[in-house]
Amino acid sequence: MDILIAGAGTVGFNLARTLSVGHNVIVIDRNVEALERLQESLDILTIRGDIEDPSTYKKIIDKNIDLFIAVTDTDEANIISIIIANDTIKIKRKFIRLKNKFFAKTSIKEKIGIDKTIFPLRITSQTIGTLIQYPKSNNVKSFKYTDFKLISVRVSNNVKPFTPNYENVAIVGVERGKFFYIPKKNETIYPNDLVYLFGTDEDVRKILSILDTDTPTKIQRCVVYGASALGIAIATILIENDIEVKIIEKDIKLCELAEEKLGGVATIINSIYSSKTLYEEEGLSHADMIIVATANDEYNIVKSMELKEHGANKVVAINNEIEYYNLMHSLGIIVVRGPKMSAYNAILENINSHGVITERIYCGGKATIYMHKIFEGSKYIEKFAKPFHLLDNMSLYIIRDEKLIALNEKIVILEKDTIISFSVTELAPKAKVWMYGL
Amino acid sequence: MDFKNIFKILSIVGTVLGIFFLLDVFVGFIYDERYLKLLIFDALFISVNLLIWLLLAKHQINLKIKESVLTVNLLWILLGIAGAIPLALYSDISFSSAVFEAISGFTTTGATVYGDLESLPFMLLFHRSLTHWIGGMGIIVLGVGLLSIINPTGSLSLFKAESTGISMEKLTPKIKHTALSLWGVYVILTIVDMTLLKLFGMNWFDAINHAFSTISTGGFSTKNNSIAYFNNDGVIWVTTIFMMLAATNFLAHLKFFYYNDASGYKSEEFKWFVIIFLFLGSMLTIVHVDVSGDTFYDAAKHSFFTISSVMTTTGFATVNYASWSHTAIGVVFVAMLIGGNAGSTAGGMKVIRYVVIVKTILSELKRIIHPNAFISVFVDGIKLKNTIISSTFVFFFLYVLTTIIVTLYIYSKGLDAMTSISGAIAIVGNIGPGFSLVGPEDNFNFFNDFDKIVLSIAMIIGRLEFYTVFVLFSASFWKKF
Repeated sequence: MDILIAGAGTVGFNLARTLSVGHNVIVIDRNVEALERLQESLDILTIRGDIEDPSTYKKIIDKNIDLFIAVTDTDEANIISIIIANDTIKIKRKFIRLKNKFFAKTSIKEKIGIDKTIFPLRITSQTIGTLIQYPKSNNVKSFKYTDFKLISVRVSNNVKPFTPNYENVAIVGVERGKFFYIPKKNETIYPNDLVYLFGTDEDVRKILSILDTDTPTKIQRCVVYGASALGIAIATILIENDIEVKIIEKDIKLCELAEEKLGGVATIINSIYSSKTLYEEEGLSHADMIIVATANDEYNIVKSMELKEHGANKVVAINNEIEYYNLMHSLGIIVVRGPKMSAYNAILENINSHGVITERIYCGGKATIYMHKIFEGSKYIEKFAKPFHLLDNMSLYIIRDEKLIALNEKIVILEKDTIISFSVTELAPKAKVWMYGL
Repeated sequence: MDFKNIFKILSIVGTVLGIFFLLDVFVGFIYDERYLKLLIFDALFISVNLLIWLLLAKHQINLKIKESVLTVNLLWILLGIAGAIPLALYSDISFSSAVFEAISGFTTTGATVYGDLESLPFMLLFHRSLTHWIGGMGIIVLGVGLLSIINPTGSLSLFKAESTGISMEKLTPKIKHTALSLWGVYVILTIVDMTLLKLFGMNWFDAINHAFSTISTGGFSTKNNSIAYFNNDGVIWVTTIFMMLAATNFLAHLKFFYYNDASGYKSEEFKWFVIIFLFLGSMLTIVHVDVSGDTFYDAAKHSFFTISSVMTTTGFATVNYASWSHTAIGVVFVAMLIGGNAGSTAGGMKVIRYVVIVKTILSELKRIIHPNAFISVFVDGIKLKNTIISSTFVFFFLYVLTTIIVTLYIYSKGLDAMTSISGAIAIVGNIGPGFSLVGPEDNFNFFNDFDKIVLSIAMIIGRLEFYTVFVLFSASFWKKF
């Protein structure tokens, strides 16, 4: 695919790095240093120029672009770049990243023919929102065509080894220490494992309460570190869920702004983050969940470790830079992708998902899911789904009539089936080929 | 350092090289020459390379900077040896001479050890021209094109280590597309040149060989008297123009051929390249008319040909310019120091570096008068960073230093000053002939075997633009930390 990325910031850089393998990538930005950094390390084309200036797009030799992605930090620039680029060159699909939620309420998407709008702040705050719904989980993923969910949970230390045997739940990933694998169906789970469960809401919830005995079943009090736009977005979601919120922020101006935006509902505390007295005086030990949501990953990591050391119940840290994700994950911190990483992920998942086939990743990119929904009139109906010689670290399932069936042998595909593969990311290309070929 | 990376690349390039060498065998077959030894050598060469390639088939190439640099250097050793064997097999020269000739071919220098070319088998003459043609576009550009097809990542640093210009600009997102398109341009230019040469009376064999030599700005001929042998105005003018085209940035041609965009020809470098060519050509014409008594047309024909040949670092000859006059020698000397454009097949200092250096000097002078002014150096409307300016000056210094060392080396052998200086410039700048004992009608055979190896290394250093070779001598290159 010929992909044009407007913006060489964190999101643009990471997209270019990932997409440059297998695609023709062009990046446009005004910043020479950022472009040089890209050009030095990646096999892509960079063009220096203003993304709102038509003459920038005239520099592109091949004027047929399959995908245009606008990911600068400024919403207005992104919107205008889509209009101008569309006017100057031929573009098939257009993705845009927007910070301000109010754009979602307009018909701007339809008016300028955007195929996908990505609101990263909303993605991150919604992820926190789902964590509130599933207090015992570390991460919850929902899917387009099914109510089945992928939920991860850290097994409490006092839980005895346990082999779950529920009809509609499968274990699709276990991380034990640094080792991750995808087990066969009935696997024994040990204390401190990070387990990925795929199943119906009801059954997964039952297993969650067996595996995690530490976290309360309902979240009532939350602390948010950081009162930037993200902190406010998270606090808003929490307040909507009737949770008592305290925000801690060192910048007095941000405190004032947050108070105004949240209408005085949350308690805003102006304090330098690191004092231990704060933890005691403000009763942070009584919080059911603490979310460290600053834009600085190093700070988020250190703060999370410190809070855990103090005995905090559940600490969630926001991840802003891709390089730190694995470190945070391996330190046992519950990681939620920040706006930039959410944008990056959402865009990649959208690029790699075609119509009826959806691609998602989990466990910090260690594993990949492909999901294929069989709609009425699909050419696959009445054909055989033949699992290839099943490799380790890969499992296949079909959801049929709300039942989860392991796909171990040849099976006739019926209308409304959903075929799913879980594989470690190294095997993802094979799974993808299988899913498309069936 | 992962030697698997290095061996895999060397074996891939070796295999491709071996396949190219089959053309020599084909020429031998057509002219009914005794090509069996060549065929056996080539079969062995291809087999060994294929075997290494197959052994490393599963290895994924992922080159680091150090590995790329080492690979490029080792590649030139491989080229020197592999290119020399056919020459050593079929002609009565030492192996060092054969290596010198092969390196001279691949670096597109065009300095030869053969006194009597016309007695050589056709397949050897073709082999020499072929080394030019392969070396001209940079075997690595070919390699990158192939490599990136085999392996989508990890060929980027190799491209950087061997590109002939200050920086290798890309026109397409993927380097392989740019590399392959460049080869497309290269092939088109060669075919057009060859056809025109044929039209102006050369036979196909000479036309192919001279086209290979011209487009690569090499300078090997099939005749002892070089282009003068053909005594044909058409051949001279066609060659003059095609040498200039070959010394122009190929990206300019690429834009023009593939995208109908002439903007590449509007660069400052190209503008100065043409101005210098016209100026030196006119100067030499005036001197030539004055000294020889030839008609103005004949003088212009030979003078512009000579300037084009020397400036583009090709090294063909129509007349012995060394015998004209001291003024003429001075003019040709200046041309020798100029070189072609960045991103072309030509060697030497290259016009863009002079543009940068002169503009920097002017800006420094201006700074004396306006100490508080903002004064930056712009080329083609783009502000140059200090790192580029300093690397240009360091390049100039290394160029001069290398040339001085080679001059002193030759001088220490008891040769005259003119031979030493012009020979050194001709070798380091990949031009070919110089003056005096190494003039256009002479050759390099009188050097002993050791000298030839030294000069071969000097040619490689010039071709790789100093940095790639000299970095091997820095301690940090060999340190792990």
